[in-house]
Amino acid sequence: MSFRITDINTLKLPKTHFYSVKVEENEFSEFREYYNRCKLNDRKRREFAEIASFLTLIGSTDGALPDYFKNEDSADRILAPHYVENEDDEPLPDNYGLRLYCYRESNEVVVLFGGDRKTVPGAVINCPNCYPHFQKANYFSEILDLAFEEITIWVEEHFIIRPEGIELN
Amino acid sequence: MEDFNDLYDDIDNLPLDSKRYVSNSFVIISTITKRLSHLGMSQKDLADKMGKTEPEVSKWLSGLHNLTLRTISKLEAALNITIISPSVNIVEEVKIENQVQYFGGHPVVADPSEDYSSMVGLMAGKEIKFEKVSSEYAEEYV
Repeated sequence: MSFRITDINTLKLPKTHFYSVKVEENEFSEFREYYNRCKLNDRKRREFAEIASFLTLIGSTDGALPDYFKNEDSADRILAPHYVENEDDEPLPDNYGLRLYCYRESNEVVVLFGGDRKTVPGAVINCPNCYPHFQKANYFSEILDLAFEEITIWVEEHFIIRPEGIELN
Repeated sequence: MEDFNDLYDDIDNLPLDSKRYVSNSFVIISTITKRLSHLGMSQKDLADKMGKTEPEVSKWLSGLHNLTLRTISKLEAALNITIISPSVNIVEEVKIENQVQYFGGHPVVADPSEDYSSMVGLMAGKEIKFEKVSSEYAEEYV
């Protein structure tokens, strides 16, 4: 599965630049595709916007400190800003919040992938919604790890420098 | 490059309470982790101090828990910090006669002839501005 790193124009923030990845045969990047799926449902759309708002706070204040992420094997995920229902929401059965998987390269650079609502407690392997995204995120992360290690791509300030058109696999 | 202006609009159009919810979540995580770092404490140290288990504390700091006011208060006591800053609304229509500053979380009425509004301080690890209140409100604290 070949992919390339894509820019997210509205999430180039003073302390952190956020990127995504686009699989060669797909129309959209992973992050865009996740957002498009969330837009089909009002509640998911609002919760996704809340996560994106969390990203803007990270990128505008402290940068992508490890404290704002949780390791998910080779990948990471953003700490979702909500977990249980608030008083205004209809309770959803088995709601453990929206997950957004990512790759935190540094305080300055984060690559965003996809995710979904987690519907079971505990290990993600038991969640039919999230597990495929978890696996994909780990696939991308392992390749990104290697690409950074071999200096196929690298970071300068807040930018991922990569040869034009380069595809990773 | 993909266009995410629609996402930006969605963020912009979040209800005020949602925006506050996100920023409050961010401030809580940020404040506690910075304080732990400042004190050289681990999450386990905090758990021990609060009589909790490390996984519980880890859950609080991983965004996976909707903290109760009781838990926030216990965290404030354990770390000797203010997580929820006292805030007083500015009522534009009311003539401002006195001003209140906060020191260590306690409001102090200041000299009404001085303008403190440009002063900033640190509370709970973040920059705050002293806020003006009406004399009527301020008297409650005197």
